[in-house]
Amino acid sequence: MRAIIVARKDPRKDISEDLEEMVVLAESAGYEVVGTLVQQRSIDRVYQIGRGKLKELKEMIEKSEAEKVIFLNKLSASQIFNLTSELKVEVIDKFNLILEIFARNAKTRKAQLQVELAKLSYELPKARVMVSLMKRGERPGFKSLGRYYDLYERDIRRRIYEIKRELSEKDRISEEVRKKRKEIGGYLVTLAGYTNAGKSTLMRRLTSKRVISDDKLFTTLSPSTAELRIKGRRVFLTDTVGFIKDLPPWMVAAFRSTMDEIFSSDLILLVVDASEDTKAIRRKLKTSHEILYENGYAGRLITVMNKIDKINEEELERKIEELGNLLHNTVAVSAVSGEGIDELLEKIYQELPKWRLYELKLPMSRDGMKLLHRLYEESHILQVSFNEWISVRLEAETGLINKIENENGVEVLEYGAG
Amino acid sequence: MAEEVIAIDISGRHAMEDGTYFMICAAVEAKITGYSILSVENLVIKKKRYKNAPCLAEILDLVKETVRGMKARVLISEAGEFFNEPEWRIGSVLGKEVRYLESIGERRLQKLAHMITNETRSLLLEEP
Repeated sequence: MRAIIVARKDPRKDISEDLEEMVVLAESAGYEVVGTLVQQRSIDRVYQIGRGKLKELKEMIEKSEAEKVIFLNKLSASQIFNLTSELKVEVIDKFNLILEIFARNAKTRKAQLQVELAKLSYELPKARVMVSLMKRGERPGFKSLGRYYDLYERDIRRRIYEIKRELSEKDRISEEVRKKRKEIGGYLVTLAGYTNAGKSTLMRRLTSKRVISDDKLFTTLSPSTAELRIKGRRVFLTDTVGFIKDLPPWMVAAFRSTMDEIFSSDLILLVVDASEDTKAIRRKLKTSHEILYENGYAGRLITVMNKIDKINEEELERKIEELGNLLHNTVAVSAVSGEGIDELLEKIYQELPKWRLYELKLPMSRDGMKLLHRLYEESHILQVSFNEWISVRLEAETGLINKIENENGVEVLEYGAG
Repeated sequence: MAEEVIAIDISGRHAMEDGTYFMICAAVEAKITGYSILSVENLVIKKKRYKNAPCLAEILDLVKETVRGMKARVLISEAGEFFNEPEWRIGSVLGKEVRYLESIGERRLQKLAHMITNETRSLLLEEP
């Protein structure tokens, strides 16, 4: 479908990068961008842009046969109505465009519910205005005395309530799974970063899990987790939805539980596309840092410069130098070629809580075998020998060994740092 | 990558009961990365009372006085501290590279500077 991108900019404000991003967003939603139109002026209450520019836009639509107009600016309900009536094509804003992309990519029930919730939260404040505008003039199907307003709004509110209830049940299950993973000594690592940074490709490279990746924005909407073993240590790696600049609060709220997956992790791999120009990387890193900080993330962090197969070494060094203030614990990798992956795994291992070396003597009994099974699940077994006792040499978290010692009266010999 | 920077925070932008402005400016010189504060090297706090709401020139004077003698080349702050003026303009007056908050490390240091000015001002106002 052919689309035109329109932006109204305030004086002194540079929106060139935002416009570039809008084009990529529109293409990700399946549109062919046939033109862009920018106007520098203060906001027009009726059309967002001025009357003269509107005329120019109308001519542009006729000439290019565009079927949709996408505004970079947030549009009010009445502006959408006025623009649609005037231009005779569908008019949407950036947030609607993001919703369209999300709706296209929502494959799981939870993601579909989250998209619907975001859509309804966006529509709710506009509901009354929209109905009022549509009722202008005599139209069939609209009940009198404002009853329709109430019914429409009530339907939206009811559906929001239903979705929230279903989502909270799903969130409870996710929370329990997260807790369980922690209980068995797992370490939660999350791939986060701006959309299209290559998080899903990196996930596939690290875990061999078959997650879908594409050179488009927001391919991943639902988090997916896979287990990874690094030098015997168990790590749960989660791939999540990407960040984007100026995500509206109602959208953040709808995807809260998915975002929580990021903020509750022990370690974040903040992935950036190193092949982009420094200005774009800086902007995306700034957005990612802002989102993580605003949501109170306080765990550990590794910055992963991805896609280094697309640039040479000098370029990479120059970018690292220029981006210095936004980098922390940086590692350069290519999820496609596998370059730097071993270094990344080593870095993750260095960030894991330190385990200690122990030697345990378990009873040669059914209970002893049960304990051994548990140790295989929750620690890193180095050696097992079966004599009068079951002797086990292992690396483990002190808490786990203390628990086993107290609960089961097992003899424990500690050797030191693992 | 570690970098030495100065975080600036000014509190007391609201008029007091007598109509004057009691402002505290803190400059924290520290070594930071994009994510954390590695070490705090220096801390300077200045107080100043104004009859009217201070203009940008007065704010710049206050900051200049506070960071005097500090070696770090980069000064970080919230954009609102300097009335959202472009970084290069403020930087050219202060003789330092000015950068509005970008990384988590910078935000953490700025928070530290903010807590210092806030608490200092409260303590000084509590004085009999």
